[in-house]
Amino acid sequence: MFAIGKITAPIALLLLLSGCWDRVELNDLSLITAIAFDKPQQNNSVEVTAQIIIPKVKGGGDGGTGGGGGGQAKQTVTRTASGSDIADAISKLQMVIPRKIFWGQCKVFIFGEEIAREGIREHMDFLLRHPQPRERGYVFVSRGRGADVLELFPPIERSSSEVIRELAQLGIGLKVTLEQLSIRLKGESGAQALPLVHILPKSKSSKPFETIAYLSGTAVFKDGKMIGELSSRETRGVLWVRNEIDEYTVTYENDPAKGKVSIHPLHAKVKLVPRIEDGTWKMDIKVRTAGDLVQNGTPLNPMDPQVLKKMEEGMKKDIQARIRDALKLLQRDLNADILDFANAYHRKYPKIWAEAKDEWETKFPEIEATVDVEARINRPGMVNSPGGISQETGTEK
Amino acid sequence: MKPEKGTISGLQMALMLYPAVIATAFLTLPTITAQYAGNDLWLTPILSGISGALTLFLAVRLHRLYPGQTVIEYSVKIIGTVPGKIVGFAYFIFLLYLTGVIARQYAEFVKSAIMFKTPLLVILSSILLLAAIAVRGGVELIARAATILTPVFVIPSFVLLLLLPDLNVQHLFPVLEKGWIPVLKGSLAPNAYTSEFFLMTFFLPLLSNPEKGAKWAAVSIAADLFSGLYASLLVLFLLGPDTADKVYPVLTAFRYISLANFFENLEALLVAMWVIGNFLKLSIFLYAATTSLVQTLELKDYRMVVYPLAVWCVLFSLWDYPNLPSLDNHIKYVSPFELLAFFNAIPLLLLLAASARQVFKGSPNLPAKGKNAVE
Repeated sequence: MFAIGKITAPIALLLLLSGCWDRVELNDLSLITAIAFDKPQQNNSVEVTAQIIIPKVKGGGDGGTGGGGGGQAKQTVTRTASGSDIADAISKLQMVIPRKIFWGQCKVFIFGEEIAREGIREHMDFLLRHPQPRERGYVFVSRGRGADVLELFPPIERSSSEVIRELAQLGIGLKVTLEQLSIRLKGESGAQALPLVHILPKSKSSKPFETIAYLSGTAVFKDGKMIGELSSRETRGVLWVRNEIDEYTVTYENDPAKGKVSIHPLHAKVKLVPRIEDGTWKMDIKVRTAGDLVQNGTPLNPMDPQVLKKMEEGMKKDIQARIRDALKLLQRDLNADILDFANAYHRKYPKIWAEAKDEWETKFPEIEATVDVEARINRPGMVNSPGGISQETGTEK
Repeated sequence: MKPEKGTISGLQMALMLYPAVIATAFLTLPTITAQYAGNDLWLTPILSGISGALTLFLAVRLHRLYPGQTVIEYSVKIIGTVPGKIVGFAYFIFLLYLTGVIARQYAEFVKSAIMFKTPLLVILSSILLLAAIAVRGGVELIARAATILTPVFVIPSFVLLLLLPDLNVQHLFPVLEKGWIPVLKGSLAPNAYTSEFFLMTFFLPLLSNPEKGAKWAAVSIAADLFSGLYASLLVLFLLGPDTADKVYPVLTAFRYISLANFFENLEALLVAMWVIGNFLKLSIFLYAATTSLVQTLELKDYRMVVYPLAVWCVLFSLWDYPNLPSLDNHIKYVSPFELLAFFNAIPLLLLLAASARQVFKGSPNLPAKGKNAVE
């Protein structure tokens, strides 16, 4: 009796080990690196394009839609399917992909401009509800069709989706993950911002489709519907206020007659201080930033503390102007609070906010914002006097 | 009458009780508390100290009155044979059914997070088989497993600190925007979970150093509160207003970890942690259920009932809920009252009855040494 148990128990356990229902082999999977959502030509409501890694690259040219071929082997292929919603489209996508779709590596989600203007909320629901798409994936809006971005074959990175992901991580533009977007969609301000993707015109010697997509500007959403966009310069103003400034260079005309100065800010700290005085809503935007001089086109000597002070003054004015431009556009033209002023008020004045939040639409454009910048230039770089000028003629004070 | 000859140390008891409470709370409580308390959810684990203190007081006080006995045994002594047996049997049914609920919670998570195709029954029965084997091995086996596995269960939770760059402390404000009422409502569930510490009634009689039992139980409760606070603050800082809308906020947090684009997709770690924690939790609850039955019926050998009870647990967990929303609703609306009734209200009534017996002396049922134990 006991002996039988000793034999049967391990056998039963072995059966359990091998009979795992969720066992998946890597070569049964199609790794998706990016997914784009577009408005299809037909009546279906969404068209899904997936960028898939080609597992084995042999020579050039084989596999892949789109032209080109030869030379450097393509490492990705795209497939498109449309359906009445994303889940439906994905299941149809599976019909043209011989291996099981695997989303674990999918870190880029692109909404085509057209579908973004129609609204992204129902699509977001799929991305947040389905267990496979990662909350850390980045969300973009593409100028034109999102599928076009995925059809490119970048010369440097493995796939065009990797290019825009790397670009987003550099911190030069807006960077919004799926989870951050989900939080913003629930936020008090009712406005969201996503980075805009453009396709870089290919250089003369490259083959067709051998180019990249890059980030420039911002798509502005209200309640999940795209309502407008910001230029690259205005986006930088927004980045300042959202405290997302990272690798970044400020170039400004210190004194219009004398030339330009470039500062590479090393860090910036931004604080939003809301105030309500006699019924007027005010917002102090306090920016503290410091950087090093990287180019000095003026004949001024930055080693002179007096001169440096003037340069700092110029930097301050330039940053103020950038922020004001962005604010003007957001408050007057778009009336979209992507800077999250709403939450700043909510946190500081919870009681007043509770009454005023329904009127936020009319309140936001009326907010008097003051921009207070404290800019410092810490180091002159590797040379002290202006480069390329002789000692006598140079170094004006 | 003891079905068990093993003894454990106070530290071992603390290491057993900690996962027995936090294993499920860690994952599901932030959602429930956030639904009530919003961004004040982090206050609820602190408030659950109320039940923690009450539970500790009740369990230790009753054990001091009736040393070496569990709730099943002294309820007979306090309120008489027939009512006492009814209470004992109620504990048995409740604990058995609770084990089923926990197993279902465990299986639902494993299925929705990682094993999408594996049948629920397989996930349920494999963990309950393991728990049953542990219970048959006796309390010493569970205690030693807890000594090894509780640290393994705790350490992965520190991986969440990799999220520090993504945390936004601003989500904390405004504090107490809607006052204390939502926070108090939200703290009901954490309080109920903390009351599960009353299971120490089954382990206090087995301690080799009984005088240290209360101290170690208090340490375990405190560790539990801190873990709850840690999890709540972390998901709040990461998810903000989204916390209440996530079925498993801590899972989302684990999925969000990314270190240098390389150290990613860590939810497997959470699932491993969850399996370990719930193995201990289920073993301890199944042990408690077994002990209740054995002591109520005064059986000679507890081993023979373990496997049948484990099968009952599987059935309970499958019968009770048609789907995850009904399980979640149960945990949100019903469980807090059940748990508080069995782990705080009944023991409180028992203690009152026992104290009443003390006052009206000459009670034949009260053991002599019990009188001396009351300071």
